Amino acid sequence: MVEVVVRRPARIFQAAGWPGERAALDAALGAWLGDPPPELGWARSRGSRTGMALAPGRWLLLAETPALPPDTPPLLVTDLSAARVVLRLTGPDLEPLLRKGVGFDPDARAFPPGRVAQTLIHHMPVLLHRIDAPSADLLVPSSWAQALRDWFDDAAAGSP
Amino acid sequence: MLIPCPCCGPRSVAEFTYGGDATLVRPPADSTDPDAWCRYVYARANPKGAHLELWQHSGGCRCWLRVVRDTANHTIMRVELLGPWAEAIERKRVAAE
Amino acid sequence: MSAGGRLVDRAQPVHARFDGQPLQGYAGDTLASALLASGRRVVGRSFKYHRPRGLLAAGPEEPNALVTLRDGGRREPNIPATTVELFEGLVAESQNRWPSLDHDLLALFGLGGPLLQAGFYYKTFMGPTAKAWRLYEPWIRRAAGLGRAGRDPDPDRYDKASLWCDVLVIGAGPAGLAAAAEAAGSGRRVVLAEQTPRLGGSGLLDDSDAVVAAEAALAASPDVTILRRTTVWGAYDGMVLAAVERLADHLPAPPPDLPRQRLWRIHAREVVLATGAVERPMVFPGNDLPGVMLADAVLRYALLWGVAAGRRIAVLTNHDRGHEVARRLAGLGLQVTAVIDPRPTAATAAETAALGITVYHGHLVAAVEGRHMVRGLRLAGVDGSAGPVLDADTLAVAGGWTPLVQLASQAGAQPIWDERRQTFLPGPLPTGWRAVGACAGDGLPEVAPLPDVTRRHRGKAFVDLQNDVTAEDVRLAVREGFGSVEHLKRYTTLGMATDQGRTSSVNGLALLAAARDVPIAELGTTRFRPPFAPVALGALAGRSRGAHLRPERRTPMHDWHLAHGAEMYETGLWLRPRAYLRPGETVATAYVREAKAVREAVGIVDVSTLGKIDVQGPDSATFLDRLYCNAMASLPVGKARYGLMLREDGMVFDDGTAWRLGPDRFLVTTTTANAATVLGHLEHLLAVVWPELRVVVTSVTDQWAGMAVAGPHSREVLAAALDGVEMSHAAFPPMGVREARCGAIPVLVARLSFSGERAYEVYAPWTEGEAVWRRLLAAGEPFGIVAYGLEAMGALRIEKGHVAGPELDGRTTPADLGLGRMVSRRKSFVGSAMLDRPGLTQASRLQLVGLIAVDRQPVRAGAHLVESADRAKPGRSLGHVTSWTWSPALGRYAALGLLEGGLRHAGRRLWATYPLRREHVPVEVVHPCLYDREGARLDG
Repeated sequence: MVEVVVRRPARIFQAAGWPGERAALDAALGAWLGDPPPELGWARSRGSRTGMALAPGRWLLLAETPALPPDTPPLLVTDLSAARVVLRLTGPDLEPLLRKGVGFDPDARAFPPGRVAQTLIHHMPVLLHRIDAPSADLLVPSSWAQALRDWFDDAAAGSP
Repeated sequence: MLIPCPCCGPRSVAEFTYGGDATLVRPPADSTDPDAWCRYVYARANPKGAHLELWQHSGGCRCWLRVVRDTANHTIMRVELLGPWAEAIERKRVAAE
Repeated sequence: MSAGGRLVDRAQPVHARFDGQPLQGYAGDTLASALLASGRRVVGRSFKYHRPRGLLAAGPEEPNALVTLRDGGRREPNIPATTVELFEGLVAESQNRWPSLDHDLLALFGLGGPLLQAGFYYKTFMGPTAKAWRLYEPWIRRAAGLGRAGRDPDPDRYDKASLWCDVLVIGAGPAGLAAAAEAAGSGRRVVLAEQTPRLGGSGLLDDSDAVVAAEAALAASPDVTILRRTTVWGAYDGMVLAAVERLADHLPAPPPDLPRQRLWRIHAREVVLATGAVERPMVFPGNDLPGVMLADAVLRYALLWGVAAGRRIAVLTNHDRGHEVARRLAGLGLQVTAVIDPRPTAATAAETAALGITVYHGHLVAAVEGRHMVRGLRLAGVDGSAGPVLDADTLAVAGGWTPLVQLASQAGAQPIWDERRQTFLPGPLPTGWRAVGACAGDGLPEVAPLPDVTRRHRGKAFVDLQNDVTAEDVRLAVREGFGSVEHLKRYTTLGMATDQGRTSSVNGLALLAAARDVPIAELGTTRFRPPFAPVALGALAGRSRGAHLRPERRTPMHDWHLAHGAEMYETGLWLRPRAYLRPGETVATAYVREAKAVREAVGIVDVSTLGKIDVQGPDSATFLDRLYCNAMASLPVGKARYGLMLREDGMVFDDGTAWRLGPDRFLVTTTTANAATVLGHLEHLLAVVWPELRVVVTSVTDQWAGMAVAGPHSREVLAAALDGVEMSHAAFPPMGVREARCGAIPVLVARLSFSGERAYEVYAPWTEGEAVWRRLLAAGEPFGIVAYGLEAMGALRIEKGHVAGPELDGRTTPADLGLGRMVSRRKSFVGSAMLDRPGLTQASRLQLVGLIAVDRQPVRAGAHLVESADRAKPGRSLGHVTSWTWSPALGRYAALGLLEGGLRHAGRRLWATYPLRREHVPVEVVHPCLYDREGARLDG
């Protein structure tokens, strides 16, 4: 059994920059997040804000309540607030369900709370954020939101 | 075939897009040497064994990678990150070791 | 047998039907054990010769007893009866016989033996005319074969999932159970896969209590996953293995919440091959008669299912274990009359004789007497002397053991011949693999090589039972030059049946070695490929069927489209409206109405599917200049420009627009189809070719919903719906980009036209897409605004000669498309160096033209353009039609095409020929812009 709850964070920003300004990037991200930015492949949350390090020089910033973007320069910011839908999956069968679609091992030892991973689920690009043992957030482009929900309904019907 | 992405770990080739032969040297932008351009655009060796090639992790972090793959058995012998951050990541990795 | 059978519960009878007759067994029986217990000897008819066949084995290696189960969409043929768990109400049919198993008229084919030997379809049935084969073939096909597949849709669900583990143990026999226990004990994640419903393997024959204990210990371990009824069938690169778990095949039908089967993709760090070994039969005349069985199978039927395979059993063996089996069978109460052993002596012969079993040393079976079952055995000395005739109804053959090395071979391990055990062992295994137990050769007996009895004694001696391949076929292949193992396999079909040569490949190689007079070790084996055992196509498809084949992408206005009569069309992964059908309309009539409305009043179309890329950074302008063939760095802020991207070889790759939103910020649009490829192209240039450029590109396709408002009243509609923007022609000229508000919603507007009418593209945040769409529609109502779809959009752009996907087929340059003036001569860009190649500048190249139908016939895309008026003799193709429509503006069929020499033929009459439809349509070649050449409707 896994429960799916859909939401749209108030703001989603992609922030990017170059290695020559690493210190300034970290400062700008830190100022927005309220904590030092996370390492590659990890998320860090503070209050209603979350930062995720997706790739070298590229971060995704989420705010559940309205927020301004971080400072430009040194960051280059792209507004993706309308471009992603978040599916929160919760339940004891989270891992068996994820194993029906993700391209990496979702076991809590390999994908612990705080970890983020990008993969394809049935051809759809999805970003996963492990919240705790039984729950994870899945971010999917808006045009695929319905298709991803349909996929989960169908996959869950096949039992673990 | 699994490709070990430096950012995301080993993933199925289904998450990647092939980017072509990485041994090619793109002639300088203002070059008009037709042979150099034809070689760059068309001429490809087809070795059995180690092949240097480009892959993009399009279904994951979207990084570009330079990979050495054994074309006879799909063994991935080496993977390097490309792009502006490649050097910084490599320096950090070396420092950590 | 009146009692016994470790797997069987005689307190629970099970009722089934076989070939329409009732069949009773017990819980724990397989279909095979129940048939054997019922006294049925003939369980199948062979593939080619329709010879009566009985059970050979007790496991999945069974070649003869193939049945069809179930009917309708669940019908499945070619299932070995030894793998079918008997359930209440099971209905099974034998195969390949007419009218019945016991009386098969098609056995007459047995008389045509010489005509049907190996490779016959290359030699016989060749005349009298060249097409005669076409007459013979359907009859031959109908006469031979295995089962018939069902034709109805499969109603069951199939699942697919991945599994990650430290150790995958394949096979839960004694060695597999031990390996799993050891791995679990060290805290690793273990997956144990067993193809039968019970764990234990050969351990069930010996100490079944130990099996129960081992199973309980594993089940109690938290990091052990036991997959029963699961066959690991493929070993792939990267230590990934494929397996299929049969969840419901042992039930009449899958319960509603259970898939029928599940396909597993297993990622393992270590693989332990514990697949065991199968017994090897022997090759002698008549060795396929019902009653000739593998000795281990006779033992299993007796011990596990409590079934006596026969009343007078003889054992044929060339190793000491065979004697053991004979003694064990006698100990279970079966009548074992003789042991026939070609060796001069055997270590335990005295013990065997002490049980009243006659041991015939130095003898072989030269012939089997009986028509539908074994009645007697004619022995011969290995020296060729005549031997006695024995009275027997069952011959239990123990010819050695063949380890199941297929998965290791798939992973690249070359099997190695072991002379002592007369078998192939796995060979050096890849890193991370190891083999344990019988499949590694442990405990396998030392076996004496067999003299070839078929050289001296006549009669069909079968090597591959399922494909009816005889010893003579092997010798024939060698005589005809097909003497390598791979040729032998393909020429004779030895090893190519559904049992994949499990009980035939080693015997085949032995015969090949003898025929070629080389040692077996030199021959090698054929390459093993997945699947190890048959896999249902449904399992491979998993959940990707029907509506779930591909994930659909929807725009924010999707529900609105459906609610307003849109007929949706799948393009790539997107769903887009073809047209909006009003009552009484078809797509053809609807789009004409829509297109007319756009030209005469105003229309609105959903263009959210276009690729959109955010380009930012100090080097953005430089980057776009290198990317497009036309100038982009000079684009002023607040302006958009149509651009062509070329490939490195000079061909047009994609067309789109670039909007300059700031000194270092652009929005780039692409075609829907190429959105992903263009993004990859940009990312490639920035990561590989120009990593020094400071540019960041990001897909914003899902950030912005897009809608184009087009037509003479488009300006008024936007003026009514939007605030914060001056809409006059002077304030908002063509190609301008402005920010505005629709109510409280911030939008971007660009004055761009694909239709040729005055038009604006309005981009709103995805979440507000439908709201802004509705407001534009409301604002457009007084002007008669109409929503239009893909068909109308296509008609409008074709009328204007605007190129799209069909013209950008990867073979056209900008000049070919009449866009040569867009190519900048003042900069280098991707594709510029290759554009001047002589081949790309010849006057005879296919170039864009317009085509207008002379009469009322359609000018279809794909038709070839020719000079000849004669449909029967069209002559050379001068080009082809790329896009076509019935043009509302012109009132006739019109098209765009690519023609040799292009507009040099303007005014000429040509024919668009479409042989598949027998159409030969006269057309006039014209300038591609068929409507409003001056573009007056666009500007102003």
